[in-house]
Amino acid sequence: MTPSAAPHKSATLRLLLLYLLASFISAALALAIVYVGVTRLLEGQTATVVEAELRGLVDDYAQGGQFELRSAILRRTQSREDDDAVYLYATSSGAPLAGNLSSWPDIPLDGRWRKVTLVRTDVRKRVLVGGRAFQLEGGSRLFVGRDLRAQRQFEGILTLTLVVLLVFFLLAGSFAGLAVSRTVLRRVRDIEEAAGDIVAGDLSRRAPVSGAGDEFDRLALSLNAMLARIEALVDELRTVTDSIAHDLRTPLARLRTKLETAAASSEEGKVAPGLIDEALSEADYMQTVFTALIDIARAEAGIAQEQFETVDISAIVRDAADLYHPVAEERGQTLLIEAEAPVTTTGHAQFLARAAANLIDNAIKFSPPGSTVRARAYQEDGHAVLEVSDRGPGISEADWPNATRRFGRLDKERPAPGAGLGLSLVATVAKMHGAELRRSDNAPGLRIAMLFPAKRG
Amino acid sequence: MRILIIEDDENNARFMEKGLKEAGHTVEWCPSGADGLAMALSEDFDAIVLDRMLPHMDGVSILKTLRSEGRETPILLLSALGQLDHRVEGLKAGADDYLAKPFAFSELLVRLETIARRARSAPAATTKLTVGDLELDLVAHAARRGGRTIDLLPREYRILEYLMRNAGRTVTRTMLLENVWDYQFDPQTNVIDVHISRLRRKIDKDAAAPLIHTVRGAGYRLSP
Repeated sequence: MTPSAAPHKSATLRLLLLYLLASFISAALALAIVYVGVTRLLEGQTATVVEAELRGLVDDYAQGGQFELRSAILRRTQSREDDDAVYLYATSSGAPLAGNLSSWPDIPLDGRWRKVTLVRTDVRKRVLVGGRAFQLEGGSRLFVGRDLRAQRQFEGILTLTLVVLLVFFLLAGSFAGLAVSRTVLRRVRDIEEAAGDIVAGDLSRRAPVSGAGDEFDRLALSLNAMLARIEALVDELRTVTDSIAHDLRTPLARLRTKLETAAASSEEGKVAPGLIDEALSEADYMQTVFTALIDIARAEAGIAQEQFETVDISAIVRDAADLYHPVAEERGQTLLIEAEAPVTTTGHAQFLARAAANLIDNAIKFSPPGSTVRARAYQEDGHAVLEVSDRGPGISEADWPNATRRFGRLDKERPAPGAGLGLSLVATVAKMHGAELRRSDNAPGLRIAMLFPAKRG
Repeated sequence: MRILIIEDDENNARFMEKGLKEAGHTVEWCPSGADGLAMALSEDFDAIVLDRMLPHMDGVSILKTLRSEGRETPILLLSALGQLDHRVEGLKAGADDYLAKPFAFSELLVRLETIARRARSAPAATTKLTVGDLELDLVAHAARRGGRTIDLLPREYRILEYLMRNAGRTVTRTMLLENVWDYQFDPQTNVIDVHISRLRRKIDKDAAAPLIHTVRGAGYRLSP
């Protein structure tokens, strides 16, 4: 676990709460729209029915006068067809003449839909009534309406239903959200724990992969790939540190012995003539090893890649071969150069020159006198190829990985000067250029080819 | 020459100071980058030795500041880092030469004198170089010693030309690799020695006095 003193803050929980709030607001809004819509619709229908009835009664009055109207009202109040229908026929001063309401409502006589509380004489109750009032010809008044109690009841049921729905939404949302966040948190915590173990020093620990192939698995897989790379680098660093300790301590010990001898002899007044020179050459040797190591490290880190330019492999091979020509001749060897036509690729001229020089250097060093060392540059299937072959003892397939490793000197019997960094640098330069380093049997001897990536376009 | 050394490592600075004074130069030493920059801006020097890694202010930014202020003082950049790519970076920033630590003092001296000389006078266009009875015809690419024609391979010609242009001065193996091959690294085997010994066989063969001299622990010198 991370050593954090603050209480655990969870982005998932915060998101969950936000999600719940948003879904609550939208559900409430939707339900409010339903409620308002339904009640408006119901009341609108009632108002329309009442209007039609009012017109009918006004017509009755116009045709049959007061008598016809009274009998129509009586018929309707007694028929019990519609329990909720209320009527009142009153004088111009509001005194009731017929109908089932106790008194004239105090509303304008314009025939518009209004709601008012009145006493129904048939059920003897004060009820909420919606209706229309109208002044008839001759000054008498007519009120037609509906008892709204049933509608109120319906509205109550609707409200209850909607509230229950809302609560259900909230509960279901919270539950689903909690479940999601628990899963997410658990997966994140697994990865967090693995990271904690790695920080504590267990470099072989990996983030768990559930196998579901989801984004957490992909995250864990890329983390694991990164961790594998880090572990490999740390291992390599350990090997290199051990090798440096071993390979530099030896010349350092010799240097120290020589300086000590020189110091002792200078006290006696004379220093053995070759001693200081020998000490200097030990220091120079150490410097060579150091420089090669630094170059390998920098090539490996890819730091020099911004200095890449178009280079001619042929020219690089010719220059390196030219440098080694006299050395091969001194050993009675023939250095054959096959690099006339330009072979271009993109790369770092200095690192490539160094790799070519190392390959030729090795080939000359390991080949017997009188043999031929061949350095070539050519095109093959769109790849630029740098190739050096010799007639030496070769390197077997099994020894190859070891030979390209830092300080990877092969068997001890071999007359191998140098710190064993030559091929390692070649391998690193190849990697830095995305080139393939291919070993093959020259029957007899060794052939090493560096195949540069084919040019695009 | 008046030389400014900007280097925080006292041991190395004293080593350079002592050697340069023995060679007859005046030396100022500055252990800090800021002071060194101020000094380089306010006083005139014939050359500056600048360490690449200084506390607080690195050598490359001092170099860039000096160049952007229009100072053309020749600068030799010293670095303990790798040379294959840093050299390019240093030269791009405006350094006249680059030397990786550790180095032989003779190499530093030769390089400093070379860049200072280059700054003082542009090389005159010559068609012929002469050292003692050795002549190099730069037009015909032909060498003669005491009337005897010497057959040279193209690379041998370039080595000899470089040695003759620097006649009387020590030329290190690294300088030969840099100038004749354009290599900024030392190969595993001491190949330069083989080249020189072949050149020496051609030049100094049958001669009363050798022209190519080996300078112990440093390199070679061509002088009568």
